[in-house]
Amino acid sequence: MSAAMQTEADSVDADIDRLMAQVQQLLDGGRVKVARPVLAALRRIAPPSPRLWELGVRLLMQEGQLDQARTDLEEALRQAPGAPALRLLRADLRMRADDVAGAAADAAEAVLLDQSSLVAKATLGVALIELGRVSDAVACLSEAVTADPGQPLYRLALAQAQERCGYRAAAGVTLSQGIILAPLDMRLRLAACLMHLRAGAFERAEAIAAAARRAGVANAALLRLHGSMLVHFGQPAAAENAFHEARKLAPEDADIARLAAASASPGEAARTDAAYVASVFDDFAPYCEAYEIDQAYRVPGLVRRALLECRGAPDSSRMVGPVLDLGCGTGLVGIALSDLPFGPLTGVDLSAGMLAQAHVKRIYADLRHEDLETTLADAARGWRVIVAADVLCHFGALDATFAAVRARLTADGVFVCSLEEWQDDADTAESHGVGGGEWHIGRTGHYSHRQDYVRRAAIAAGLVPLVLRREALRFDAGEPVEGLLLVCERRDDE
Amino acid sequence: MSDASVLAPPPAPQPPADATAIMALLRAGETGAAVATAASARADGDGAGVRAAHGVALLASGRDAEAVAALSDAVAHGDGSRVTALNLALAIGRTGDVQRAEALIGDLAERFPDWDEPPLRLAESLRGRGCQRGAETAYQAAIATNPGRVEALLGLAGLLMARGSFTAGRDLARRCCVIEPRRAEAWDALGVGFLLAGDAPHAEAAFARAQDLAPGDLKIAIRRIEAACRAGTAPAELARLEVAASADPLNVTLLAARAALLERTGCPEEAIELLEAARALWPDSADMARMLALVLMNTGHVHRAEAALRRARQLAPDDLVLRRNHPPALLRLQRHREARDILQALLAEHGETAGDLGNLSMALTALGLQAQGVAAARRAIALDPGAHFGWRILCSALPYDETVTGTELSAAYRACGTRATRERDPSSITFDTIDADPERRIRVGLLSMDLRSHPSGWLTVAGFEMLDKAAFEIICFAQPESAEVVQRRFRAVASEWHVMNPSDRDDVVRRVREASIDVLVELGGYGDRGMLITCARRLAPVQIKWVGAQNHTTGLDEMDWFITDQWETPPELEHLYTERLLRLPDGYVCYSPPTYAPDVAPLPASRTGHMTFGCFNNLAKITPRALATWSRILRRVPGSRLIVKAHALSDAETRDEVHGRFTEFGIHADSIELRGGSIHRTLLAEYGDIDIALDPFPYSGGLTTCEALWMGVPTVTLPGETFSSRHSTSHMSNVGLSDWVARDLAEYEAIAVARAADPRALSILRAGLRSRVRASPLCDAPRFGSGLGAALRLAWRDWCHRRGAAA
Repeated sequence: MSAAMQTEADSVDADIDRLMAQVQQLLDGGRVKVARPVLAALRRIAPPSPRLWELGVRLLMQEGQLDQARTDLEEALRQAPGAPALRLLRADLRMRADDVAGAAADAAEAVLLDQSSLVAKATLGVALIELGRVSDAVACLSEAVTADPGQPLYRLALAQAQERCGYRAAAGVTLSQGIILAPLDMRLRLAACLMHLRAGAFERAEAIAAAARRAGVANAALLRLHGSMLVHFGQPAAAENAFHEARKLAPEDADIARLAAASASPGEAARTDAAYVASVFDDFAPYCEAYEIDQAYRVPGLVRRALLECRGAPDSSRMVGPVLDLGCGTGLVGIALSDLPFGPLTGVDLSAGMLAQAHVKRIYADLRHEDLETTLADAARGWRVIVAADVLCHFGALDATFAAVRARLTADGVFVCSLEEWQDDADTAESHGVGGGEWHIGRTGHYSHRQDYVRRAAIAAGLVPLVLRREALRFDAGEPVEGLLLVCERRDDE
Repeated sequence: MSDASVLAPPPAPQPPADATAIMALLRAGETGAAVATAASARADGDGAGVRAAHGVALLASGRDAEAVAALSDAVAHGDGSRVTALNLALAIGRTGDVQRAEALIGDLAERFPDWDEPPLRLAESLRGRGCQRGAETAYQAAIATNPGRVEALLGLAGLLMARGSFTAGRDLARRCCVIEPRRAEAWDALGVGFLLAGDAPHAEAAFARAQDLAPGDLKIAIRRIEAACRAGTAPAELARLEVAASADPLNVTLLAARAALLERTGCPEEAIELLEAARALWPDSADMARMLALVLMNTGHVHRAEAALRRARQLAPDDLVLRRNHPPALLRLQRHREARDILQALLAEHGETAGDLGNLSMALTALGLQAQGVAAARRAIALDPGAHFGWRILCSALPYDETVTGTELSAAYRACGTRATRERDPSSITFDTIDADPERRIRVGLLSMDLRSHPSGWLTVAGFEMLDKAAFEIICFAQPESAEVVQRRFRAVASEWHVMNPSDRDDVVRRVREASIDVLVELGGYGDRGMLITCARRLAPVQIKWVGAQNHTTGLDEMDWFITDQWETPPELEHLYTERLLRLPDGYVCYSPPTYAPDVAPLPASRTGHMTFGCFNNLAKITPRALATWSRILRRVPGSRLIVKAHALSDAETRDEVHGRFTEFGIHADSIELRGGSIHRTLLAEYGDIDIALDPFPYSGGLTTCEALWMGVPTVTLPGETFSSRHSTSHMSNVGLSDWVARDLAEYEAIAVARAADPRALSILRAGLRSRVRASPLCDAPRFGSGLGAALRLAWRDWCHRRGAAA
């Protein structure tokens, strides 16, 4: 070791380009603490430049100093308004501040300034998705994917845009091609799996999860989903294995531990696992509504009509309520009832993402992030109207749920729900076991019920069915999806 | 002699103009230009002055032999100046003829008794070759001639301090500070004097002054940190360094000093980040590379450490510390051949040290040269037979040696244990405050740096996960926290996670004892980074050995129990153990297969048309006798092949060596495929190429056999007397395949040949093997956890009972 070391600037290697590249590499790798002193030294030896500003702002952003990053970035843009990298940084900052329009403007400007920048196009595409301009987003992101087909992030965004446009098949292709090109990328597999689950294509979703496991790239989230699917499909041994594998990868996850423990002594899967439902819908929440509208989702309208039929047009000066909306999702039932004197409305859902969308509508007096069984167990509350729109398809046996509803209805209360009907189709032969011929899990992964069983269960629970009829719940590829609409009131003698 | 020593005062009065110019260039540090100017001046015809200046320039450039010629030439041409004579003597010394140089300098000292330079140069030369007393005398002579000669005062101060005369040395340093208050070395020496005398606050003040004068001197900065740590002002020093670094971001020394302090204060990861920044800013600094390499090594970032060590060695090829640190990094990376080559060179150049021999033993053993590995370990023991180090190395090598018997191995462990016990604290540990309630919740400590994706992790974690939380609390004493998946499983079951530094044994002992552990399970052994040795000092009331270099008995009096099973330690082998045996009801471990394991592939023979044997164990386990046996099997099974896969085989030279060993047994290279290391999933997938696994002996496969079973491949095995020879016997028996366990070599061979002759049966076995293993006790975690819990409770109750009886 030499006796002394230099201390002045000449001790630092003054290769500015090398140091800039190194800082960029460090920031790309998230190594903020290493980048910081190198950047500090660079600022002493390098003249101000857009690249140096960019690195400085990126460092601040990665350190979470967003206000300072904004200030520095504005100053940098004043001096170098034509730097596309700075525009992209501002797009990112604006996106984080929910200024989606501003972000889109910056990203568009970056695209104009550097038409070869795929990052700019992808950023613009993501902003356009957020703005609801999904067709434009598809165009933008398609360019990015075409130019760099192996970049998973571009594909994830494109698939999201395509799904929102209703191009589910195209989204599936985008993701499956991505899986081929980047087989170790878990995000693509997870996105594909969730997309198929949302579309009710449970078998395809399960196939993706199984393929990921075979390829050795499954993570805890995917294994957990897989386990839930397998439970749902009545394969408890395989599900137990999936949950145990998930537990190995996420040993700190109490929910997975619970599932693993429960799966070791499987009972009848009488309902869909709550956390599983939440995980499927959380990511999709911002687009769920548009998707449902695309599918001509009819249930909220059916609920409105049913209430009017049973209770007549209520006096607008006297509110009928309180109203409990079980599985409220993004709040479509709330919208359907918003011009009628039904309220105050309380919404309950497992998905925090869905509740966030409902919250924006400002229709609900209260929104609860909990299982509907928890809500119905609250003996302190009584409800004049209880709605369960498109939520009982996650329940097999209805007896306990109907009984809980009965217990929470006020004397003049009314209960309205939709169900998927188990008709005599190809599914019939599949599973008489778990549901005893009363209900089963169909290929869509939803529970469907015999009409007779629904009636018997309601009566047994102390409800009086006022209406039980077939209705088209939605249209899938132009074809109606048949279901049941049930309207009950509380039996007086109870 | 240092570079500074060649720059003697300028030559004789009135030097020629060219000589003056040359000396001016030298003073400006332009040695290359000085040499060129001198050469040019001499080509034009010159006098003695230019010749002398040329000699000095050559000396400054490190061209010592040429300097001797030029200076001799100057003397021959009439340069009679004493300076030229002294430079000539220095140049001669630099060429290696130190005795002649010292004689010439002594002669000058006699001829010029009023000149302090010759005794000073003599002192430095003497000190350089370790003649401390002679150097002291010469320094004193220089000081007698010139009491204000700071170099002599500092040199003498250093010598005095080195031999323990701190006060005298410090007084001399203080004198220097008075004479030359702006000389950083003087304050630095004063600081060292205070530090050695135990006066850390004054030392810190002196170093602070030195650092003001030489802010870029890393050694001073590091010594100041040392003083601050001892003075209890480390936080203030850290804050000062942070402020200073933000004010002067180009001062890399400040970054390095902060890093050093952070490492000292238990924040090695932050230290690494700063050192990486320092290295980015100053990529050619050997000091930065060295510091970074050593911190990375100490923190277990082996891949990065090895790269940093390589870089540091390029920058400082003569640095012995770096050279010695490189082989351990290479060993951990399974680059054993490279480690061996460096170690053999080190031993040849610098003589035998126990450390180098220990590392060499590990490298040789890992290369499958077990006998040589054992021999190197015995040489390490011979250097210091009373120390446990050499014995620990022997205990790591001997289980692989094909000639070892159970009794011999027990004796080696016993010798190791006896020496380790001598380290025991003088004060006895009684654990009086521990509540001896046999049924209460037990605090179970896990002591290992390998609670991760490692045999110690894969084979134990499922058991700990299944322990009843109401009855057992888990406390880990382990490696730094990371996101590594098996470590996360341990963390999920542990209520406490203590990061340990196994090289600081006192700290290990103190911290485990402070944690009030009831039952300590040691999972590391005597091997690399193992902490078994600290158990000799008694860390907990009950100490149990389990997995982690669990080769055989530990030989430690203080190891109370040894977890085993009926196959690992049948009754007839019990006498080989110093511990009491905790026999678990099924196997002694529980295998937790990785999530990413591929599906079992069909029998490869159905695709290839021939039988493929395989062994994916470490090369260390592959003994000459195993090679001979496998060669006979290959000959007896027509068309058969053998795939050997091991990390060490990634190295082409090692592959050639191993091919050579097979050739010695008459097996052509075409029948053998040697594969290097790969990622774990790929390794598992490669079992798709294997029909039958051949277990090595005497060191059997452990985790490897479990993995082979999981991938549908059964293993033929031959147990011996030692614990490590019986792992596969345990695993195969636990999955109901005890008919794959041979009683002797002939039967081993016969089983392999017979199974190979029935591919249909093999195919059927293979197709159902994963389900069979999953359902077997080997993978039945709840069943295993129940047995483990019962064993831990038994050991605890035993201690409580004894405590009660003693009371």
